[in-house]
Amino acid sequence: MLHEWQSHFASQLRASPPYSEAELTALVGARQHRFSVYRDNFIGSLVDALAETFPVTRQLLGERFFAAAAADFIRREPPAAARLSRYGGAFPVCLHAHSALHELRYVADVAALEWARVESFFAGMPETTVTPETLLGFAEEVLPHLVFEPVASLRVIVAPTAVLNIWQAHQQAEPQLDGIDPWQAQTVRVLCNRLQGVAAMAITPAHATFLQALQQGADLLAAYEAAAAVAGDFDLQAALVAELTIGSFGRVLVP
Amino acid sequence: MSVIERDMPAVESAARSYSRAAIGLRNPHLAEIGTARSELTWLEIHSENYLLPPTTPRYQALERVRHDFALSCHGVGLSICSAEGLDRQNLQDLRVLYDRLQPFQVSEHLAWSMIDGRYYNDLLPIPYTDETLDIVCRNIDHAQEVLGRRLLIENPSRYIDLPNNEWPEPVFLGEMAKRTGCGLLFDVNNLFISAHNLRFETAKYLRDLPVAAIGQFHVAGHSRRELTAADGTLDQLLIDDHGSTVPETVWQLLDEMLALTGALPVLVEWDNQVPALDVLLAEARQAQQRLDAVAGKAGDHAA
Repeated sequence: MLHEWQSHFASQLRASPPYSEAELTALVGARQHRFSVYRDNFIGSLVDALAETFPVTRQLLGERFFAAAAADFIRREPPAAARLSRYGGAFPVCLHAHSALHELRYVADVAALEWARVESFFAGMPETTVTPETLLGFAEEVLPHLVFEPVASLRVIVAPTAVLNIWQAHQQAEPQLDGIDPWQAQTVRVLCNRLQGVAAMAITPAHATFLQALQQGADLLAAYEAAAAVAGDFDLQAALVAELTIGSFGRVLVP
Repeated sequence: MSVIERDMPAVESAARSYSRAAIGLRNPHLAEIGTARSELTWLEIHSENYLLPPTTPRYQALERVRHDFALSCHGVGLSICSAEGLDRQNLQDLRVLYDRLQPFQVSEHLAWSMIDGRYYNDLLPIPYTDETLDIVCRNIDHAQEVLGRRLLIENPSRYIDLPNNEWPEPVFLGEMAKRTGCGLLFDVNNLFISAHNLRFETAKYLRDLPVAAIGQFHVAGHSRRELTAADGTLDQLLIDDHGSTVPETVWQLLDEMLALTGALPVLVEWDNQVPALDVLLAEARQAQQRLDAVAGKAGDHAA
């Protein structure tokens, strides 16, 4: 009986207006107007949680539109667990499908970047990372077959819009968007390391393909071939040294 | 003998040895909290904020704080009153966290947030029935067993007197404590709010409350909200928003309760529009004065 009552209570929390007075009275009695305290807490606190995770998305949409879009999302997809810092992974997809945002695709892309930053932060930093000097310890013929295992905080974003430029412009008190073409495609690497915390940086599409191949467990040769298929002039050595220098790999596996 | 019964004397002595005023550790104060070492002996954290890999910057900041202060861990998401039982993964994660942090107290709310696999991020009310009591006791037993610690359970702030209530709240709390061995984290502000919203006398409530089970007090601020009832009348509610200084009425109720229990840990809660650390410390000083006054009276009696 308690289970049934709690399920009913939850369905009334998720209900959209207009609310059924009869249903609420059956649930909580004559003072059913007070149910709004719980409904407002549920929606309001989760809108706040999403606003904390997606601050630039909120600026792009404006407070009212963001709150309305977030409330719709919350009613459809309440969190599955108590850790709200991990809530909102599906919000960028929801924005992408939002009928009013078809002409503003970059909003959903910025939301995806903000979510990648959150995931990267909570993935944390490994105790040790592979340094460029490590390469010196391997015989030349072994190098193509090494498997560089990315750290848990590494994320790669491939967007058809200028997602990083737009996000960076909003790190200023008064965002300057002049000169940013929102439809310029960008690929971005997000990483959490000891020097910078969570940092996002633009990389070339071939470089992104290289990292994505390594994330899928490819060895160095296979990852290089995938990247070279995107751009024939992909500079493997420069890309590898850059990633090793910022600590993108937790360990290297020798075949 | 259960782990809870075995640990009870140690738990009670821990509560008495931290019978001082404290504040909750909030993110904006992480960098400067060390400066409060001369005033505070312990801090409260919200457990769910630190269910993180130990390598994350926030967790590492907590590790530094832990060298300077004892910790009380306050869970906000275990959903101890959920009819579907507890989230086992969440419980295991809390166990790992508490084993690392070694808090002197751990607490949860007499409320539910989770049902049918969804989390509603609010402390939702329960009807005080025999069935609810059985479910709550089963969940507390489960949590205490997995955590290996005695829980303090916090009384709720109430907005609706549910039509299916069978037990007065303080009697329900007493039966729950007796059956499970748990203690109470008594939120004085919540009692004040509930008494106003549900129109009952705090004196009668306190006569029925098992004060010996109380291991910690919370005090906080609240706000007023006016709602319109179905018949068009205006309904004045107090809302537990933890967003302002503690009002004198709540301090006075704390005094009444301290007179019944003697000195215990007292926490000033402030979760919304978190002010500068100095403002929180000034509130903690007020709480400490109330505690000192009780200690002074106890001393007078002894003399």
